Amino acid sequence: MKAQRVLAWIVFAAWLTWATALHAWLGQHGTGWLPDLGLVLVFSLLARLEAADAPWLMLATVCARAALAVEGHAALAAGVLGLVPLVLWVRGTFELTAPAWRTLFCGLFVLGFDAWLLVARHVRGEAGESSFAGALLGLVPIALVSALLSLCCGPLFASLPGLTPLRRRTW
Amino acid sequence: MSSSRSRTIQLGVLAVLLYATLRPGTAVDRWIEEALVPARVLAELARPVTWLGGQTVLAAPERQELWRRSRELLEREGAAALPRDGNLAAGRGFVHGQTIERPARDPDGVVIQYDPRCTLAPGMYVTSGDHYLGRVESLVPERPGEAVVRLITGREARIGAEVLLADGSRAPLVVGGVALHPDPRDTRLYLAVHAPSRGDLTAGPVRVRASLDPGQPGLADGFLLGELVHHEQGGLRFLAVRAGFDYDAGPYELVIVSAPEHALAGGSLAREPFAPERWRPTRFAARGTPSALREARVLSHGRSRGLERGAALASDGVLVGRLTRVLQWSARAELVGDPGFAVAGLAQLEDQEEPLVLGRLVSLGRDGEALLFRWENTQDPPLAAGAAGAPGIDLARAPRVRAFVVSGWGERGLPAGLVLGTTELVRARGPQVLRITPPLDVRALERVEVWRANLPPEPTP
Repeated sequence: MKAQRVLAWIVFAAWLTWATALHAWLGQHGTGWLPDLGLVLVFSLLARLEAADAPWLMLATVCARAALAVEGHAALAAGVLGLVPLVLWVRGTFELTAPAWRTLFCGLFVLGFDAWLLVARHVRGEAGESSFAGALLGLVPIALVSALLSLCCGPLFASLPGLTPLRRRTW
Repeated sequence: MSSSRSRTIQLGVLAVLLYATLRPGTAVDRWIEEALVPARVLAELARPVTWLGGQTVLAAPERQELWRRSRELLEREGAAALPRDGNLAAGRGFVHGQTIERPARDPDGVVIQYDPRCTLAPGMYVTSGDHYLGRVESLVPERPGEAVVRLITGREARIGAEVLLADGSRAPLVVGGVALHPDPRDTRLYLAVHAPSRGDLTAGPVRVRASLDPGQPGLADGFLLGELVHHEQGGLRFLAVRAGFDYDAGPYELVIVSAPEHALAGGSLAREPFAPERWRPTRFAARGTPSALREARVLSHGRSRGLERGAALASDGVLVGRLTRVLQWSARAELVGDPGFAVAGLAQLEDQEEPLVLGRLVSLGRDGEALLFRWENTQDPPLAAGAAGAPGIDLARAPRVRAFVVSGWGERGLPAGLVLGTTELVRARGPQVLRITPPLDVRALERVEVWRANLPPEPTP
């Protein structure tokens, strides 16, 4: 890998960490209507990435998330490793940079990731007596606002400084 | 690498990750946790975000007032463990102890902490109020001031007793272990009766009578076990003692009965919750969490700084949360508002001097600033017929009382006395949701303190 691309992945990890930390800070008082900035950034880049680069994106995502999220590292990695190939497969059929598709699939991506973490928490017996259905319903607003953010700012996220070497030129 | 081979590897890795996720605590799970520890460096990259907003602290007078109320509550709870009956208190000494562990796999054995200056020995009797609870089974040699107590509910536990009959006569019997009530709807705890001296026993209070010498009462003699009950079913006669002590909600505060010269004057607490040397400063990696619908945090310190799993987090004496996973250089904590967070509660009611042991409180999350906890009221009588609507309590009709709630005993890593806040309790049997107003919004904190559970107990100054 060229040094330029290595640097670009490091920059991506930094952007992703800041996005995740900012998302955490904005949600410190617990609001259900907050977009997942980190996952929107991941999706925006994923829509424009060379498929061969996906493992690097997965590694950067797992590391950035593991630094600040409270879920088990295995659950985070399984979520990323399960969903990223799915998005790549969907990308073969739908143009994920188009407004309608990126809105729809970004929302599903965020919902799928958060729902998986919720399932993992319940299966591991860490959720106590809290309701699974209620919590699942609570994830819908997050997915909706994340989809809207992707609609409005998806291209902007993918154009963050330092990420140019990671984007396909033809998008 | 061929596409097919790469896909196979990917599926293999995914299978391992799924296994580690769904089977927590396995070697694979632990290895993956440790392998990603270096990712913590990225959290330092995000530190500027934590500088947004200041540290919330309580004003000194407010903090002192909270500590005073909490200490008073704990002292009253300690005093409530002493016998109320003057005859039981006379000629005996009492060493205070607090439960710090009640293993789920052995609910009849509790680990207690006590003032290590007191001399305890296996076999000594353990009581709470006027109730007999069990005996000291063993002392923990590697931890001075800790002992294991075997409760009377244990399968092998036995104690000599006598029942006071309606005609004033007394009948000896042996009590110990748990008896199953023939009516499965009756969920109260019954102690088994062995070798009753008479076949016509029906009812009466049952007290310990361990001494065989009628002129020389033993140290446990006279303490209550409960009420003798009988039940006929299918020609079989069921005889048991309905326990006078609520073993579901305790014991948390108890006393070991000793000769008067063995007890020490002074405070009842083995662990002072507000002593600065018992707390270690630490900080969160971020204010908030990216994890959806969670109130949990990652800490910037781990095992390398002496943090232990299960240790309480607090700020200004207010309970913040508990460590759930500790790695080499970081740790994870669930906060009090995280759905599923559970803690033993103790309350000071406005209309009652004696503290109320609430038992287990389970967080249901928040409603605005307020913490919502599920609580099963097992101590008050049920509402009159027709008032209790399923599944909970008819709140409009039930009497209420304001209460100051702190953490109770029961965990090694979490001391009693940490403030949860104020609430209004419904005084009627059944499940209810407590809406607790905390004195501090712990979600905005960056720096907190973590409890040093492994320090030996010290007497209260």
